[in-house]
Amino acid sequence: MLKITTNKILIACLVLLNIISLTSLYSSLHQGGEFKYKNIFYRQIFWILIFWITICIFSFINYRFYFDAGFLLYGLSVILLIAVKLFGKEIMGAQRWFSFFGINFQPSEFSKLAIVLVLARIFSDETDSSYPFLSKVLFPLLIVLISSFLVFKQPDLGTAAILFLLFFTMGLSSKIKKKYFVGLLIAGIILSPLAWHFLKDYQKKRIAVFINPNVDPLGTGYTIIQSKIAIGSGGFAGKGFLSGTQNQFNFLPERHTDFIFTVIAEEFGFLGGLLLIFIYFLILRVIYKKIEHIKDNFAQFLCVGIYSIFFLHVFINIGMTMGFVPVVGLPLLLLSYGGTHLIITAIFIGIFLNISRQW
Amino acid sequence: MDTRVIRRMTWVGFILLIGGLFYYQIIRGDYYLKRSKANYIRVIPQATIRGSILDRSGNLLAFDKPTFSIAVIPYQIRNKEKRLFYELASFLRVQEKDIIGNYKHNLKSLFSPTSIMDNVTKEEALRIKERFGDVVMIKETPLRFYPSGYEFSHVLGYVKKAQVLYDKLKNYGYTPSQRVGFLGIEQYYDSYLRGEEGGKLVEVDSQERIVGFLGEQLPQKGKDIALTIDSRMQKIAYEALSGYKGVVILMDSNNGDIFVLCVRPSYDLNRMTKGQGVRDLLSDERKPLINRAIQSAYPLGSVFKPIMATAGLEEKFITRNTIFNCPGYFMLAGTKFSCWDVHGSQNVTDALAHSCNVFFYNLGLRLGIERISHWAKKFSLAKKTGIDLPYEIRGFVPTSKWKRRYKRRIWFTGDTINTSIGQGYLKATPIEALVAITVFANGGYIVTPHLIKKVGSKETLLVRKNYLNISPYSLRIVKEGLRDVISKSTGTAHMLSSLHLGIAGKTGTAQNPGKSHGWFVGFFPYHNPKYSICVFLENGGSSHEALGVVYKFLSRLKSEGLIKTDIYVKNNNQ
Repeated sequence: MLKITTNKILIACLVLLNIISLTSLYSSLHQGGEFKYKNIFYRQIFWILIFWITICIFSFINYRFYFDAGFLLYGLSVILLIAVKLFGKEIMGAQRWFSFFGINFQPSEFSKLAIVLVLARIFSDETDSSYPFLSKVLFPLLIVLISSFLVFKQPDLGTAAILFLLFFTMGLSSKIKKKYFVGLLIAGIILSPLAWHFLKDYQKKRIAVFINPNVDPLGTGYTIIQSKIAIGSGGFAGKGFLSGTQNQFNFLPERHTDFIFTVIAEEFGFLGGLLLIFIYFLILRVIYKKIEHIKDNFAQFLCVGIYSIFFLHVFINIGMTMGFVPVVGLPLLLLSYGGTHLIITAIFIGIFLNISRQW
Repeated sequence: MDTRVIRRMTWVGFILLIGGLFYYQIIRGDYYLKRSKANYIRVIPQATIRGSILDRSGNLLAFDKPTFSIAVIPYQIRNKEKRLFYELASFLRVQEKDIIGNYKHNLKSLFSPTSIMDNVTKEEALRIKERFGDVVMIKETPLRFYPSGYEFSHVLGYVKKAQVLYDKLKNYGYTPSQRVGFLGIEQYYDSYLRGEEGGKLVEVDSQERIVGFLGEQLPQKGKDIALTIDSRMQKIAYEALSGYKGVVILMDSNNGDIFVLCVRPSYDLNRMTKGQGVRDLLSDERKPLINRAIQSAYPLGSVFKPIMATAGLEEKFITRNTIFNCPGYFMLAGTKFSCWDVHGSQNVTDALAHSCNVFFYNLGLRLGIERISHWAKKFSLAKKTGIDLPYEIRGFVPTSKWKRRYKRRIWFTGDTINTSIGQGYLKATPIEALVAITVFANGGYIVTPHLIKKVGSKETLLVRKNYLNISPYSLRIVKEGLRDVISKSTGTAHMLSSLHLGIAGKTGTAQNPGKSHGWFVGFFPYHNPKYSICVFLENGGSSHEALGVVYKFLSRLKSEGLIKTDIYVKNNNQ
């Protein structure tokens, strides 16, 4: 009985998010009272259809299949990441996309899936190993580092960070001694100044701006200042649908993609923002309840991976619009415009539904 | 399986998000709402026309004429401002650093028009618009213009943008771009002259394109002001003062209308309005910015003697026939106080005519400092006259109490002697000296000098008479003495008798650490005085120089028919 109810809640939440996504997208694509970018809106409707189809398909694929296919898919994702670096399409200074028939595909999104599968397999294997640190910590770390380095070089800082954090959330959920991960984390923090060296100029700027947005008020800082103004000016109840001045008068760039949250916060205020966060919380809650219920290790780790990815997308994206996470360029879960992100999320949900059907 | 990590991460993360949302939207909501409005709401100010200033016969002394200024929107020219400023500078043939200076000075927001060049001619403005297109905006702005930039400086004052003192002015409804009067009539009557700025309230998008119209308020023109000044007389006074540091004031003896208030050295109002040459003026050691007629007090010298004479007569220490002998000096406890000549037996009118010091030493000793102070104050010497100009100061009348308290010395009889002839600590501004002498012209009252005649089309009635209750007897005697100064061949201002204007008055040579100051105060025509005059020359040398200026000034007025002479020729006994 419980199974059916929680899944119904999940589906209801997803439909609600689809509606919110289309509503805020509709508003963000207006300019000066005119519906300017109809194309993008219709495309998103199309993607939402594909999203549901994908969920249906993947909910019928037995999740055990991924246990065997994990490494294969991982290999494929690495090849794709290398290929996109070599042949990919460059949009706004970043080489992240493959273009098929006018549809842009992002291999970095795909690598999230691959990493979750691989890590779930490695961490769920509870057979005693003679070298647990090597096989359960350093080996998966190497796998994550390869992917996240390639993603990072695209450059796509947000996804690289998520891949890296997945390693920790999934690792810390396993039975492996926590001190290994904590030690690595500390080592990482100590070594992080070295990473500065690898950052592109615009990324360095973003981090500098994160610390103080006023260093570059017209460039990188502009977005974060305007984003805060949009959110703050929404107040308790918001300015009303299609009435956000930050949104309608075009003070915010990227508001139909990474900054979609500002549109909601400005036009629907604290109430709207709270409702949205509550929906996300419900989704996570449904997954969490399931994790406790499952008796299969691999399925549990798949769910932990999915949970982490969903949470990180929500936290990093909204945190970024409010200025307490650097602007790294990451879509808001199920709300931002973009096909690849929707499809990969659909695959995750499909996998979860399949697990949920079996347990 | 250990789900604690993801559970904790979720709680912390969601609390942070909700907390952040609460902070920005609820706690700081009003602040960000204000900022969002500042983002998209613009006031496009529409400058108002400031009221004109006219003289008593309707000649324009100050008015607004249209000029053009060039503005840019910083956000639109970002990353290319250097090139643009360079090109504009070479196009207009001005210094690039001036443009950059203006830009930085006027920059308020990245999205509002920022003026980079003011006072461009219409032809230049059109050429710039043609050459640079939409990058630059041309604004029509009124510029204050003074047809006679030097002659009326201290009367009129000038205008500046309110921006300069905006913190103080914003509570009075000024906008930063509005002009506000500085010094003179421009400052004193700013509330009449300024008018009200209008503006359009519009909505703009991030590219500063106007996308909506919220409302408009039309500017309201300021009121015109007519002064009591006679511009032809003022110009003659300006020429008569040429080469001197000094003041000429001509006033209606009965109602305080100021016909002439001329101060030299002067400065160019048109340059001041454009903000040019201010530094030079401030460092000029001749201090041209000071209105010497109302903003500096000087020793009066013999000009004080009519007040002394009145005090003596009113306090019954002397009568018309009291005689003091002048051997050319006066001995007091072994100290010798000199007179400038040997006058022999002098009654009060003789003493005034000859400016005999010894007579007034004797009189001063009998009166004592307290009575002298009392009478000096009664003649309004340590009081502001209330002229309608800003920053008037008052002169100073010493008392023995004052000296004890502030100089920590007792009052010596010698101090009284000095004060008797207008030296020592006694000081007065030229306008105070003029108001004091006018008491003898108008039959015994203090007038309030004023410059305002009309506001808009309404006459202002600003005649205040403060009667001093001096007996007609005393007034007549002193007035006769003042007349003798000119009419007697031995009088110190006898040279003025050739003007046939029936002048009465008093000369003064006021000693001070530098060169002596020269004074002449007086009135005419004697029998029915209409005009009071004060000429003061700072470090002019002597009263003789002042008389020269009086002569030059009045003879021109007479020859140009600016003062009527027929009414008193009959009564003139010369």
